[in-house]
Amino acid sequence: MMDLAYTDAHRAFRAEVRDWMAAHVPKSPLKTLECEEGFNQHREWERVLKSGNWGMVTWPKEFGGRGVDLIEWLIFEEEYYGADAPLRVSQNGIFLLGPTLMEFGTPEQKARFLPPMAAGDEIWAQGWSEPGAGSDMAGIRTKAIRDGDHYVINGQKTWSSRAPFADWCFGLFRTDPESEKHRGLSMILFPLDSEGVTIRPIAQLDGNPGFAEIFFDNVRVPVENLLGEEGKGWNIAMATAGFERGLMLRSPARFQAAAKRLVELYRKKQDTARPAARDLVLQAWQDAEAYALSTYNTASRIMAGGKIGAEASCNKIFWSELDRMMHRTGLSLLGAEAELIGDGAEAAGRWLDGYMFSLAGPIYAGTNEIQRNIIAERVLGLPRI
Amino acid sequence: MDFRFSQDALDLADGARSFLDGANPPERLRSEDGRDSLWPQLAALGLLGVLAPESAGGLGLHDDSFVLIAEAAGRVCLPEPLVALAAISVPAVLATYPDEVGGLVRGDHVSPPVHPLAPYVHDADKADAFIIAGPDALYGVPSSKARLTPVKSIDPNRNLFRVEADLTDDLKVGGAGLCAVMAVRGATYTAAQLLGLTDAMIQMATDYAKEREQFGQPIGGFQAIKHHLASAQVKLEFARPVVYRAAASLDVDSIARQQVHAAHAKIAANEAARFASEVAIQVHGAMGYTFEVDLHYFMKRAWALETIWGDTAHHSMIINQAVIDGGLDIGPGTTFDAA
Repeated sequence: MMDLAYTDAHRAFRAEVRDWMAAHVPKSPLKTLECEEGFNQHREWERVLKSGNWGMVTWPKEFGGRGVDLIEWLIFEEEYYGADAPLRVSQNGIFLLGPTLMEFGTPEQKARFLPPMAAGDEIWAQGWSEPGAGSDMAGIRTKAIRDGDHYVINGQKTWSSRAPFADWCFGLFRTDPESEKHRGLSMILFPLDSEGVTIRPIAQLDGNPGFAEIFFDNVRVPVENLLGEEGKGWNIAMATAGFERGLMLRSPARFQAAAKRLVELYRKKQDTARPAARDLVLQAWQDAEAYALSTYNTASRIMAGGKIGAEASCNKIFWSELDRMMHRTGLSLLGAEAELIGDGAEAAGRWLDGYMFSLAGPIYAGTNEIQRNIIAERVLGLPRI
Repeated sequence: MDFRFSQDALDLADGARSFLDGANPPERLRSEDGRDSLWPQLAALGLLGVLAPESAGGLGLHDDSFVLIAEAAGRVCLPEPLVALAAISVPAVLATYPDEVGGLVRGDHVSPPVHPLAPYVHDADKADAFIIAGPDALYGVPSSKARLTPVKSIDPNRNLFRVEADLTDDLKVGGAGLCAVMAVRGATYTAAQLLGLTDAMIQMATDYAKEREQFGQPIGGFQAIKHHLASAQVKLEFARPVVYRAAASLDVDSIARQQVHAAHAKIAANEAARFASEVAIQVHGAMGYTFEVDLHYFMKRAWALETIWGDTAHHSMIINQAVIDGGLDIGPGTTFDAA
């Protein structure tokens, strides 16, 4: 029979996380991590997490983790969001680059980059998109040309999340200037304070500089910072994208916490809610639950030696559309309060902030249109265009 | 904690799937006759007795070994009421007259379930008896004491009758608790069949989109078509674990929790099937609107199953009562019993 019970060890682990979070989660919310003060507050929170050895629980102990399995990771996330703990400023590093380094990095690279990543001492930005390479990422033009022991980078990246305040960046660059499309690309890591790097923050929908353009003017990066083989960057990027769309980036606990707040809001507002609101609230509750079930299923498969494949694209579509629907519904329950932000509008502002952020969900990490192409071509086997 | 099917369950389902694919091709749906001709083979393969104890000739397995078989039956749009008998009647008889289970497992006796949520019974004219959920008790009614009124379904492979009987005390076989169990089983297993139907409809539309050419290329190369089908696939992928969890919780979790899980499963499967059916007909274009392709058999079965054992309105009220009125939390203690 299917074993759907948590073990005693699971329960003990859950209790340990819960107790620690209750004692350490900041009592009042931090400022948004998309301003300097808020970013630093979030970095400080990463250090507090690290002090309890909660930086990245799934990582091996030698790299600053606890070596827990994916079920325990889900338990950690449930307790983390259940405690309303801050967003992870280090997510590009710990969820994306970290696993990529573990798969493709040299022993020296792992030793150099993983511990400070888990400790919050080095916060990572990512550099994929360019003005001419968005959904068509193979259109990357920014060059990294080998010159002795260095690569010399020239060009421009954009929509680089965390870049305004982060320390390091990983991205995809064209190391073979004669190459086209997905060939001749390489994954390179560089410090954002390198000479020749200019960062121009971009105001997001909420007005905060959550991401930035990065300009490269003869930026010299040592060849040790090449991740994986030169010219094989596309495959590495696809693996990273798999982590992003797959399991780690958006754990179900995040949406369950939002669904719970939505139910509470509905209970307060149901006398003035439109009739359809109840259906939407129930749908949100069910879909957050379905996403949790699906993730437990995927985690179980991966723990038994399976891999996450193109179905990661189904996940990304599902959670991003759920997130948007939940926040839209929350706003619809607020009536005239829904437009208010700032002081005195904390409760309403959270739904509005969440709604604005949710509008980015179907766009980042590969637009949902690209995800639907992937499902159609790789799951259903329809012809590529 | 391991939310996967056992290898035995997967192997059993593979066997059932290959038998059903071969034995119930679309031509059989088109002929609209011989609707019960597979009974001897279904019984011989042991599929009627998966949930029955070995002492009664069954396999003695739990529902997480039958839910994939129910999905496979849906996928081929099987006319025989294999799922209703094996997953609803067998457990009901086991709980009331265990000595009688052997006859059901062998296919000698056919005793379909009747419930206010599923009042129309397929092939009731071939039944020996009925297991009827009354207002406050479960009744066993021999066919001689039942009144059958033929009714016509839009699904040409459903040979329906309204079944009524005078539910007198001498026919009582169990309490209201068994009626609740019946409803939970009915919803869960109807949802499982809907998953199979959804899968089949997506597959048919995908196959058609690979073949059909317009503007000098297969229409499946166009994003408009791809995105329709991908959206249907997402609905299916996220209905599956909900239905599988509902099956895994049968007879394990409290009945109140089973009811919420089953309600969620039925709502999710209803939505996936309805969405996939509308996408599939759209992808087929005018052909989908005809008897020229087989899609309509699957679509009509999906319509039928969407309403029986509780439609979306019914099950939404169950979730509403639990979540909005009852304060059922969301999170690990609900997803899986006991955090």
